[in-house]
Amino acid sequence: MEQKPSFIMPAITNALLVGVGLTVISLVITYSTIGSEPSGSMFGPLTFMQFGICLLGSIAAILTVNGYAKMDGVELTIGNGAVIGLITGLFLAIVTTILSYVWNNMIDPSLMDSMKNYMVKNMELFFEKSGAMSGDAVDQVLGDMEKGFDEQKTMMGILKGFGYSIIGLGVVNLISGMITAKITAKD
Amino acid sequence: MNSDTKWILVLIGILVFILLSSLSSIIGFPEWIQHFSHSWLQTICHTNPERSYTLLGERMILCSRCTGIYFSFTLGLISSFFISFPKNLRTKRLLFLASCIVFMLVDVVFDWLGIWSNSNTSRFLTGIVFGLSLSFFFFQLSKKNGEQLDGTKT
Repeated sequence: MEQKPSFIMPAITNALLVGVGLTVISLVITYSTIGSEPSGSMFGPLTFMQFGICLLGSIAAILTVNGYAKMDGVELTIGNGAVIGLITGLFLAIVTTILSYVWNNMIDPSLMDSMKNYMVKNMELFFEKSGAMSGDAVDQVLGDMEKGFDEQKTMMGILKGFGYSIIGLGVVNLISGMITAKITAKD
Repeated sequence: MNSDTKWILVLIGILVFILLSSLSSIIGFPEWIQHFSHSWLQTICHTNPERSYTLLGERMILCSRCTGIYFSFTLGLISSFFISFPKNLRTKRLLFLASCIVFMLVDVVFDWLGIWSNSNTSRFLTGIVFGLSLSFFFFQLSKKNGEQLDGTKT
């Protein structure tokens, strides 16, 4: 029986490439946002960043499945596309978590605090403008937000973030892997 | 049941899981499931409550656009078991997907530039069309209308 070539190395390579690209984009957005004055809008670049990065992450599976489909002797089914996409998403979650850990703990440990201060000020402005909540409720929301940021710095918070990344990146890469397998499939 | 059918069923299962997660507070799931759903859905959607639909007095977690995408993608995949496409439409599916992405980007960018103000309805509709265009890739292709090809290979 003819053995299919392995997709693990292309998956790791694409996860590394896309992971580095996504980290650079998120750092550019983060630094440019915290360097500006808070607008008091709920819908700023930082709101878009988390899920935007995850959706852009689906490119990793597209690249891996597309490259794999071009290899000799490969006949792709959507099941192959799903598995390749899922594994690529897993590698991508590992890469982005490691890079963000290294940046936030070794290169610029003050970044999380700067982000927290920006987000808290932005929310204060938002509540001031909208006037939708009373003083106590606003304090509660802002307190929860600060607690959330502080939790992200702990090992438990990092592991939780990693878990959510695995689910999010796994799902979007599984879907994009299946669709790419369908698009690249030969008649 | 062939391998492709099984994987389409897995995909439908994942999409139903996403939609149920979004409805967790409406269905009345325990607090920890609602918290988990909110946290993980934030990785695939901005989950801004101002842009989400309200059902039975509770907000959905996914925004109106994502709700449209996942809902129509699920319905489209279910329909793929009953409807087949003529084979000459194969390449047009990619064109349709590209048009839907442009259509959605126009809705987002024009709103951002202040040219047009989008609403939950416009977001939901662009999402519906995009989700459908994704599901079209999983439809069986027939040489002519109604004539099925072997479904064991993609």
